[in-house]
Amino acid sequence: MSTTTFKIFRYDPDDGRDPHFQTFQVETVKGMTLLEALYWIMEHKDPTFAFRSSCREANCGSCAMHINGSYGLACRTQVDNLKPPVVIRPLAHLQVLKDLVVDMKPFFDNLKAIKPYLIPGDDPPEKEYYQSVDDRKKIDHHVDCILCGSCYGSCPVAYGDPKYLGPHALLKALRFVDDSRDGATDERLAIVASEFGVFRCHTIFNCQLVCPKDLNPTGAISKLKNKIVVKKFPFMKPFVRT
Amino acid sequence: MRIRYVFKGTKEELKLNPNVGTFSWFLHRITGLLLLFYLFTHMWVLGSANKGAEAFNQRLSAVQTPLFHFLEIGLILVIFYHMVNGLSITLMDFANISSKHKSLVVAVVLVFAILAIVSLSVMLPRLFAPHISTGGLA
Amino acid sequence: MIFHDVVVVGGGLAGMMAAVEASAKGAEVAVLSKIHPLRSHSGAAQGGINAALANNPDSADDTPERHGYDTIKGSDFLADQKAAITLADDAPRVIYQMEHWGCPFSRMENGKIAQRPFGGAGYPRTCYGADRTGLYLLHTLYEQTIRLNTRYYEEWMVLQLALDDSGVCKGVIALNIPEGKLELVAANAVIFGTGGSGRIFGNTTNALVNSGFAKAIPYWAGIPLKDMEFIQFHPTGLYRSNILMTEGCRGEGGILTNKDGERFMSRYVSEKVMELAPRDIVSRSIATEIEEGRGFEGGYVHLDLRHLGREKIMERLPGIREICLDFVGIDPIDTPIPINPATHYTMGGIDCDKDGITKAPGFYAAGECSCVSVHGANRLGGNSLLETIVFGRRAGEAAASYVKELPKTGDEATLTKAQKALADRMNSFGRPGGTEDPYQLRTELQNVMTERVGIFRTGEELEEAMKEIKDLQARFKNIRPISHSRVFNMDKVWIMELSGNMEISEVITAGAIRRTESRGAHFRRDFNKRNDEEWLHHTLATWTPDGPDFSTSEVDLSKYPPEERKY
Repeated sequence: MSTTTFKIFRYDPDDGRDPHFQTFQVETVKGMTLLEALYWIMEHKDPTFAFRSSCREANCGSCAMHINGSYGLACRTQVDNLKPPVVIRPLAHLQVLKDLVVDMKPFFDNLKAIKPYLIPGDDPPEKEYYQSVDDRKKIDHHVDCILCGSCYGSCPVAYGDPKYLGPHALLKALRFVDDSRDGATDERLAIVASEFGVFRCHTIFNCQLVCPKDLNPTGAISKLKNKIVVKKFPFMKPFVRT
Repeated sequence: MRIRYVFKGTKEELKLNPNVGTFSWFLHRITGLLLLFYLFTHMWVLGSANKGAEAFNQRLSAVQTPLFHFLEIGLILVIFYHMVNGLSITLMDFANISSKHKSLVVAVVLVFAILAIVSLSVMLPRLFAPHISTGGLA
Repeated sequence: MIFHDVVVVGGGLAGMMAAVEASAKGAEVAVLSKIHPLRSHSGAAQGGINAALANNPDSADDTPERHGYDTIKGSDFLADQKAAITLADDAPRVIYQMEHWGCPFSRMENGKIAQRPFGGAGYPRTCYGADRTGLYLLHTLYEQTIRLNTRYYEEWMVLQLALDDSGVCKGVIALNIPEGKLELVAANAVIFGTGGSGRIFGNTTNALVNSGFAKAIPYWAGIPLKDMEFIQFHPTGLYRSNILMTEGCRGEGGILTNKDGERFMSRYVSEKVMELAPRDIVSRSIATEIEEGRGFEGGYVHLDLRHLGREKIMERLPGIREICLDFVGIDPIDTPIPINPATHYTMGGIDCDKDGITKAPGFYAAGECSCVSVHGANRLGGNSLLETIVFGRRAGEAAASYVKELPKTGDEATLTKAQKALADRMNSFGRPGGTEDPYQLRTELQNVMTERVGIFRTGEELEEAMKEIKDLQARFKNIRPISHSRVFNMDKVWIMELSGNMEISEVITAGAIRRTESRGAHFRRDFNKRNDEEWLHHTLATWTPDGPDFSTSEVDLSKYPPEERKY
């Protein structure tokens, strides 16, 4: 057992203090995850400390936060791998409700803007839609997104413009555009080609770097850009990969 | 909405995303602005040609000083960075090689370094021997 | 006071499915969820969802009837047979429904939904999407609720059920966690889809949010809980962290080995089923191996996937590999995974029928929090996702038709009364001057349940556990005052949940003491045989101030007579 110093972002709208950092000494054991360390603080030091968590196995996306200079899921991060003092901040670009809890509403509103549901091309068959293994492979990784918000927090464009759809929504858009069962490709491409869509992306790659599921939102955005280009200028088809 | 942007305007903000991508994006913007500034100066010099050879020579000699030669080196680096980075982004989009971002960054740095070394080896001597270039241009 | 026609409590698969179905049937619906719906634990389900689609060449002659029989046999004949058959009959339809809504199931070469073998099933009938089936289903349903513009109250935790004097459900009292306010939510019908309560135990695969509180709410309101003593232990929880390693690992061909490298399952079941026996049997086999000294030091055995090869693991079990790399730092492609059995599922729950109808008119239950019962004494893998969708749908439909003729006004008097009852309950603990640490009590309770009410139970140990639970309940009354912060008071949330755990652990233990036989997941060393003469009935527990009052109800045996359960 050893002690690790944590510097944690604190803010409570009720106590009249400005946002600040508070230092905690946490007794850590080998194999402890950051989420367990946060619970240790809550249970042993300060019961008013607030953060979100649920599955503790990197699957639900509740505990995305800014950890020592990068974004990630607390449950998936081993304390041993962090250089003390461990500095924890909430997700950026979103209003802080308390401590590490942010208001995710704008994040999900952006998602809703791209119509994130299957709009079938044909009337559903009696059984399942036919989808070949290769067609399924096209959406293989896009469907793994857990919507934790790491990419959104890391995106400097989202920082400058809250209306920017964000990597998560654009990745989701590609998930439906690439789905062989979906019939609303044109509609979705029109949405993502809008003022706040893919062309606002500056190919910074932070989203790809921080994604706890190793997905590639930047690549998805590039793909969408290419699809829009080909739709507008069909002669470009041989020059770009969609 | 009092603290919508908790970090805005604080030095915390700089610490948020210290990734290669952020820096290259930031540099791309800065170099873009510098190039804009250069274009204005460039036109200021070239535009004088409308008033005849005399006026052009006069204005040209105003920028043929060691200070401007020194700035030219910066200019060439700025151009190369902006060019190489811009091309890499285009390549990334069109060729869809975004999953190889890291190798691409390495490639950008390498190409930029080669271009910089070559151009510096040509330009640095000129900085210390101003007469060569003045003679050539006049 | 807020009024909604139908209020769904819980934003997991069962809750969202009920909401979608109720609004499709014309009811005005709102969903109350303690966490954002996408954070629900349904998303952690990995292996798949059962339906007799007969897509796999090996399952060409599979039928819903066989699915129903497998479910009943797996339940050790404690399942209500008509309900189990309904589950199997509805299955293909709901799978196709989910597929039409965009669920990205994995595909076979012929473009149909892929199916893999699962424990206790005669055919490969578990439809899957890699090893993230639950996540895909959860996201698909959430997307549908976006399409339907369903009203969500996110991070509202229900604390109390409001029943009027004649026992009709009139709404709920909820804690608005972001604002720290108590809200009265009136409704003509309330559907509970609140999920499991694995966190009563220490060694659980369940999410941190899956406490016993949601089951305690209707229990306190006088609605009986059924078959609570049946707790499923999943054979393959990751060593130490107890993170679920899907049954799909074994379905795809993974094997279990002990420290001598021996494939020990042959000792317990026939060569034909081996690792794919039902979960209760595999868990007991692993526990026996460990107990008899053939496990590795620290108490685990190996789940070996190495022979599957890199390609198959990357394609079919990528999530498993990710978890292994993140949480134990091993790669299953070249190292066996250390696993031990872990608490996984509560077969029991709120007593209801196959339309989710409970004792209280207007109160419905679906999913893991309910007990229809289709799982009886032991659930088969892949049936829980199915249960949430099939019975969520049915409950939504039933609630929508129930509210059709009712006036669209809330009953404020009943809600105010319920609020008073809630205040009384909340004042019974955490008074000034209290000294006990609630989190310490939570750990102690979890330890008692893990050690004494685990895979193997004896009357003596259960009695001891009961004594300790009573003692912990008394100490709980004397906990320190709850933190006073208003916004996001997680301290209050966790302590409220602990109060539910205290209640439900007592129900589980008392039920286990009562049932002097071994059936399915409930195994008594002192009564190690199934006893159909005395115990072929459901246990019903009703709340009284002095602890649960037990009664029984008949098991529906209309289709298959009980037989010995052999694999």
